[in-house]
Amino acid sequence: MAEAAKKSTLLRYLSSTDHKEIGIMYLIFALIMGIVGGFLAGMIRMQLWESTGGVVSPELYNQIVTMHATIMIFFVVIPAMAGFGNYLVPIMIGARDMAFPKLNAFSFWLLIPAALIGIASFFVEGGAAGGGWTSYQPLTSAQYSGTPGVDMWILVVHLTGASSILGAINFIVTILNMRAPGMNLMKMPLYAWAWLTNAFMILVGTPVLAGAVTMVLLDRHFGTGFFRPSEGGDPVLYQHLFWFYSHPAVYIMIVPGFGAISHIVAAFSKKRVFGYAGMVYAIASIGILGFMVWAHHMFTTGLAPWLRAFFAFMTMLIAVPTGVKVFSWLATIWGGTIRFTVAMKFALGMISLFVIGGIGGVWLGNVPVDIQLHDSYFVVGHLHYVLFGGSVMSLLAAAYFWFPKMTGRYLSEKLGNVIFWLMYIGMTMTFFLMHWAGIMGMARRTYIYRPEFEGLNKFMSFGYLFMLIGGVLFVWGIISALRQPATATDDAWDANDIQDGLEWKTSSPPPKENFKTLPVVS
Amino acid sequence: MRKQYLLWLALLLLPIAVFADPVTSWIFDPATPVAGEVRDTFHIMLGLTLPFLLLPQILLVYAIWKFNEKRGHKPATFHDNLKLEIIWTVIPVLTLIAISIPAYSTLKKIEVPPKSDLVVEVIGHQFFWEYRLPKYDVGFANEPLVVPADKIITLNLTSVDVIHSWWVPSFGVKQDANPGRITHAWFKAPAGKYKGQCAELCGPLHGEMWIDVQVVSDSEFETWLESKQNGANVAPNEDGTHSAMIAPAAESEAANG
Amino acid sequence: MDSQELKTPEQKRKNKKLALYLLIPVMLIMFGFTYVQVPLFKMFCQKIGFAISPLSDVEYADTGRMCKVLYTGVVAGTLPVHFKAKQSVQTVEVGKPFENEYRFVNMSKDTVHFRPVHSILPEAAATKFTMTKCFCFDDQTMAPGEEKTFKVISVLSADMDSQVEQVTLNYTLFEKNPEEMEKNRQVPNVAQNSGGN
Repeated sequence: MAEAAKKSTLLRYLSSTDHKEIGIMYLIFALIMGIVGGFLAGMIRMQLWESTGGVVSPELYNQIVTMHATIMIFFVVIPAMAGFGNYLVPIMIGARDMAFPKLNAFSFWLLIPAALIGIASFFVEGGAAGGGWTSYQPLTSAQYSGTPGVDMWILVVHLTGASSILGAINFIVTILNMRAPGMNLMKMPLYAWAWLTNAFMILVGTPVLAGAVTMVLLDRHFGTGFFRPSEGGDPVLYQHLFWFYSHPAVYIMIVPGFGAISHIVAAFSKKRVFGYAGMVYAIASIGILGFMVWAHHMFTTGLAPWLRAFFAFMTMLIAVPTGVKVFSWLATIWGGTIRFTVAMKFALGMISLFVIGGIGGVWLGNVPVDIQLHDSYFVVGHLHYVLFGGSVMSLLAAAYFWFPKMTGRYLSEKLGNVIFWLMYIGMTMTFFLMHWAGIMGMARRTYIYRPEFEGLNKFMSFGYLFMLIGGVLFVWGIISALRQPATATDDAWDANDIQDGLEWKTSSPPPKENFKTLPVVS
Repeated sequence: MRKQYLLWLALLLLPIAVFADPVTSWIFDPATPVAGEVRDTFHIMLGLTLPFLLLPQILLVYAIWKFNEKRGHKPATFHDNLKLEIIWTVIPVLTLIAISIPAYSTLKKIEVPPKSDLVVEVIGHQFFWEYRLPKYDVGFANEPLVVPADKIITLNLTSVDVIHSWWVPSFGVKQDANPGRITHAWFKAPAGKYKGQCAELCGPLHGEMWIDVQVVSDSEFETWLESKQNGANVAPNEDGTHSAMIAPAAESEAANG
Repeated sequence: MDSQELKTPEQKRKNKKLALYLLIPVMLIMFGFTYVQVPLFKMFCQKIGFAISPLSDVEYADTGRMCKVLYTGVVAGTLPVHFKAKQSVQTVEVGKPFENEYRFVNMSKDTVHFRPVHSILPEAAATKFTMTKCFCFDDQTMAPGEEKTFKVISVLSADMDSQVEQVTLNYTLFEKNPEEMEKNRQVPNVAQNSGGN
């Protein structure tokens, strides 16, 4: 009997067009790929344990670095954000499903072949792509990387890009057309606002990346010369096109996290989120400004000085709306009654870490300083503060916060506490001193380094262990929580009165089509 | 709880003790006027942004302590304050403008070199650097660059394969070398030995593309030049396939063959 | 505002309309935007002087201002060609045409095809540097062991920033394979390739 039930559940999920089931599949997929990406990170830290390397070959090291980034970005953070979005956005705005349920399922299933191709690329002749996740030209041209690894990488980018774009269209239509009666745009939960902005960024940015990698593919196999100087092309154009998507991509990876943090911080301070309108404007202006800063990744390519000055200013300007968000979160806590749950700890931890990442971003916008910090470990530290301290911490916060809604069960607070401190300390150990290493002149993406940096690197590698244990405990925590009986009520955190989202007005987990009777927002 | 914070602090201080043998950097050992200015720009920026770095952390810790539910108070109900919101929008904007001013003046120094005393062509290869001094018709590769001290050295950088980046931290110089075009950088350094490396991923051995620069006195430079001009200026070809050099020796070779 | 009990047919129509008429075009436009960037980028580069039009009218003038011109060059990849300017440094008068000679030698026993790409420093001089004759206007072919001499005639506009005292003209030779060479023959190669920004 139980076997049969299990089988039918599996079948139901595999053929599902229900947004909640698809959302959960996204999250499971991200968790599995997170293990793969985390394993690759471990290989990197092992290689860098000693300044002379020796664990993997230089070729393999570059492949690991490339695929660690590709997997973490395209298969972990973006799908995990999409998973929560898929699950939560329709419920929060009082819809029965996404606007196009079949398209939604298709977006998810595109990721599976993409992931398989990405992992398989390690085992083809010549190995995976090794040009960094940026895959600059001409390093990944046919002339300098003739093996199929790069082609497979391009296919991965195409598939995940298509998945994101279709998902984005679905989100925009859902949010604009399917809100509950009475929920006008300025009454919409901030999480939905974050997703609306995010979906627009994906829709505008991702096709450009798809176009750029298509050009690389054409250059590699069909004799075109978009980026080849011998055919009148220019490698620097690739950098412009790549970063036109990939700078907004970092906002794509954090903006839904911002939305989630707003909800969690308010719920556990027992206080409405501070400055709702300001938050909406801030998130929208991040979405727009995000497209006007791409060239700050290119300050050393030889851009005209006036261009650099422009991009430097825009880059620093983006700190203003981000600052508004941080201050508004602090004002939300201020005067509240703080319940120190694990979700709240992850949320506050995210604010604390993200501020460091954000200020690092301002430093990197300062052209003369950036010229020295560019392509050094400072950048590695900064991006991990934003992506791990920002995105992953907000994902963990969201997991603890919405797990009762999704499953009816609570994740263990005791275990969660341990996981939080392991993650916070581990990430600080690993990534904080990377800033320092970069300032001192340690270049990134090198498989060996100057022996002077060995002490620092050993320390960083040690921090990885903390995060590894934290990750293992997190997976174990989920499995053991699922074995508990379901006890969560509709309003699982007793915070309904200060929340805009409608997800607490239905059962935990919500029934099929989410609501028995659709709520009306007054 | 307090124990955890102490542990955190101790772990943070440990590597600074481990980090005993510092390398030359633009922040502690700026060798050129530009590197010095970059350091100053950095310090100004550090001073101006530090409040924004620390304030949220302090407020966060204070709020966690002050508004903990264990204190048994009722939550406040405010959720708007236009004045406050305007303040925390305007102050960061002003700060950013204050950061930008020294940044732009430093950028100008980096971009506009004074009258050049010596032009060095820097050519990136997978995975070594080639240097040419057109003034003396000297070219060499895979060995330290030797230049005279306290002279304005202008670099014209390019690459013959993929993108490389010439980075010597204590000069405050990092400039990409792109195939098909030239970019420029400059420095003026006192005598000494300086280290750097390629900063743009250029293939498997990117990590071994070190840079060594020996800045020497005029007389030492003359001696070095003479030794170079006495026939030692053919580029060492790793596998015999690279013939990118156009030293005079290559010319005569062509004439003979 | 938008009322919905279940997903009504009207609701469905509204959703489809939004996706079909607004969002999918946005996606396609952005995809097209990538390709439009290629010519736009070239135009932009030309405007700020990363590429120059060789056929533009040149006005000569007496300025009496002297400027140094440095001629450099590299060979990309494994192309077995040596080339060198007759004079590696020239002192020229701004506003007056000046010429130099390049000697090319094919060092191999094969016919080689290549494209010369030029680049000029500093940026302030790049828009003011006009070539009236240059081997870089065309792709080149050299027979085995062949030697060739090319004349390069250029002029610096009189309105060039007087701060500029030295200009560098660099060539990079990129190898081409013969089939592509044939394909591109019809299209005049207007030195649009010296890179951009």
